[in-house]
Amino acid sequence: MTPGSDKIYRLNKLIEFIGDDTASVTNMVGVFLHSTPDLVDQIRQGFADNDLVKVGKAAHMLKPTLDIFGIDSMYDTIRAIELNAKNMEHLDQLGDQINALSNELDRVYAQIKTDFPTA
Amino acid sequence: MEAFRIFIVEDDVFYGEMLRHHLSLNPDNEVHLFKTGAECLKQFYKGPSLVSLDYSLPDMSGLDVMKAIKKENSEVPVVIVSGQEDISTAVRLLREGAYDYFVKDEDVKDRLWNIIKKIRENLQLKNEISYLKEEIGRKYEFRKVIKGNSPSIKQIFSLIEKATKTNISVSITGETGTGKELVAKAIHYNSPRAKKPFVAVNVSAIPRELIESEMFGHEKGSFTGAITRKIGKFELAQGGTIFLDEVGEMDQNMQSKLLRVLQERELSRVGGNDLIKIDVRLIVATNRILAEEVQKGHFREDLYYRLLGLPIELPPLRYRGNDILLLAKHFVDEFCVENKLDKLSITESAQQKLMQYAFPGNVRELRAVMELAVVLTDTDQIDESHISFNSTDSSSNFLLEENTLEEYNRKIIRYYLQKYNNNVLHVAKKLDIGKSTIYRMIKENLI
Repeated sequence: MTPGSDKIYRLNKLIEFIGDDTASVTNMVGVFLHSTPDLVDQIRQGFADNDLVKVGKAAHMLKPTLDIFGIDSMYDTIRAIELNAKNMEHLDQLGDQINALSNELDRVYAQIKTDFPTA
Repeated sequence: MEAFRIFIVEDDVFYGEMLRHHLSLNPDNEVHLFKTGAECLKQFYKGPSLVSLDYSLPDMSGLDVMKAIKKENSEVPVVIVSGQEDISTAVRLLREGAYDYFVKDEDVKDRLWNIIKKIRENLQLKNEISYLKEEIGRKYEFRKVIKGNSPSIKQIFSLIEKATKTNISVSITGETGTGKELVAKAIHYNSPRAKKPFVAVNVSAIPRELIESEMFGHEKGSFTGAITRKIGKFELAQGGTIFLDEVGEMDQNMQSKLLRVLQERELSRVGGNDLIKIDVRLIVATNRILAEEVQKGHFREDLYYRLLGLPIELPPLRYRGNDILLLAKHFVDEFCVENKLDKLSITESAQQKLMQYAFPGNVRELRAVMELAVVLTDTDQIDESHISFNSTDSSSNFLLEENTLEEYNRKIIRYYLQKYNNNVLHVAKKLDIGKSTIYRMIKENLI
C-alpha cells in the first residue's frame, strides 16, 4: 500500500498513527483530499485580499497535515508562508511560496487519486 | 469497564479525524470529535474523561474553552494541543489547570496514549478507593462490630446512633480494652463524613516536644530536623473525623493550643504564618476520669467542656453479664473462620469459668483468651482447662470486681472452704475468725 520512493508523499507516519488498516488509511486519504484544498484556497484568498491573518491561520492548520502526509518537499515552504504572514515579512516572496505550495499539492492530489481511486 | 469518553476539539478536519482514528484503536475509548469550542461545551453534559483541545479554535480561544470546562467540572483533565511550540503559552495554560501541553507532531499519539493510560490508572485507583471506603463503612456498621445484648451495651448503641446524626464532639471513657477506638470508628463510618478520612492519634504515644507538629504540621525549616513540610493530623482529617485517644495525657501547653484550634476552627503549621481552615469532627477518648483531672488542675476546664460533647461511657466487660459468653462465642467463631478451622463449642464449665472472671483487660483480654483456647484444644470443644487467664495483676483483678466488704468476706471464705475440703475448723484457723461465723454463714446460705 505504501507508495514507492518516486512518490512525493509518504504514508508511513499516517500508518504509524492510525494503524495499518486499508479501510482506515483510505478514509484518512479521503479526508485529506476533501479538507486540504479548502485550506489552500483560504491561503490564496487571504493573500489576494491582503488578509495575512487568514493566510497565517490556514498555513498553521495545514502544516501538521502536510507533515503527517510526508510531503517533505513542502516542509520549509509551509513554515515560511505561516511565518512570513504572521510577521508580515518577506511579503514579496509570499506569492511565489503560495504558488509553489498549490502546484505541489496538485501533483500530490493527482498521485493520491491514482493510488487510491476509491478515496 | 465503563467506556473512556474522549472529547477532541479540533477545527483541523484532517488532524481531528486522525486523532479520532488513532484513539479509537482502543475499543475501550469512546471518541467524540468537535470542530468548535461551543459544540464541545454543549455536549459537555455527557461527562468526558479527557478533553484534547486545540489551542486556536475558530470561535473561542483554547484557554476560554478550558476555563469553561473547569467551571463545569474541575476534575476533567484537559490536554492542549497546539500547532507550534510556545513556552510562555504552555506555562500559562498549565498554570490555569491544563493537564499537559504539546505540539502537533508525530509524538502526539504516543503522548496522548501515555496520558490516557495514566488517567485511566488514576480513575481505576479512585474507583478502588471509593469502593474500599464503602467496604470499610459496611465493615464498621456498628451493630456488626459491637456485639452484645446487655442493657448497658444497648444504651451505647442508642448513643452511637445519636452521635452519627450530628457533628457533636464525642468523649468516650472506659477502661482499657473496652473498645473506645471501635466506637469512634463506628461513629465516623456511620456518619455523613464516612467517605472522608478517619485519623486516630494516640496522644500518650507522641513525645511532648513533637506533639504540636504531629497534630498541626510544620513548615520546612521551622525547627532542627524539619527538612520537609509536614501535614499534621488535623489537616489529614480534613472533612472527616479525628480521634484523640488518651487525651487526658496531653500537657497544659498543648491543651491551650488545641483549645484555640477548636475555638477558631483554623490552625497554622509550626513555623508557618498561613491560617488553614479546618472542618474536622472531634472524638476523644480517655481512661482517666477527665472531670477529676480538671479538679486536680491537670486539665483545663474550658477545654474539658469543649471536648465533653456527647459523653459515652463504655461499661467494663465484667458488668455486661451474658455479653461475655456472646462475645466469647463470637471470637471463637471468627478465629476459626479466619484460620479455616472447624467450628468449636464452649463447654458449660468453661462458660462458668469465663463468667466468674473479672476481665481487667476487658474485651481485648477476652479475645486473646478465646483465641488461645482455640489453639490449645485438640477436640471440637473448649473446656475450662483451655481457658487460661494471664492478667498481669491478679489482686487488682479481684479488686476490680468492686464488691462490698461483706461480699468479699463471703468470697474469701468460700474459696478457702473449697481449697481445704470444707474443713471449717482449719479455715477458721487460717482466716483467724470464729468457726461459728462460718457455720452461721453456711446455715444462712450466704456461702
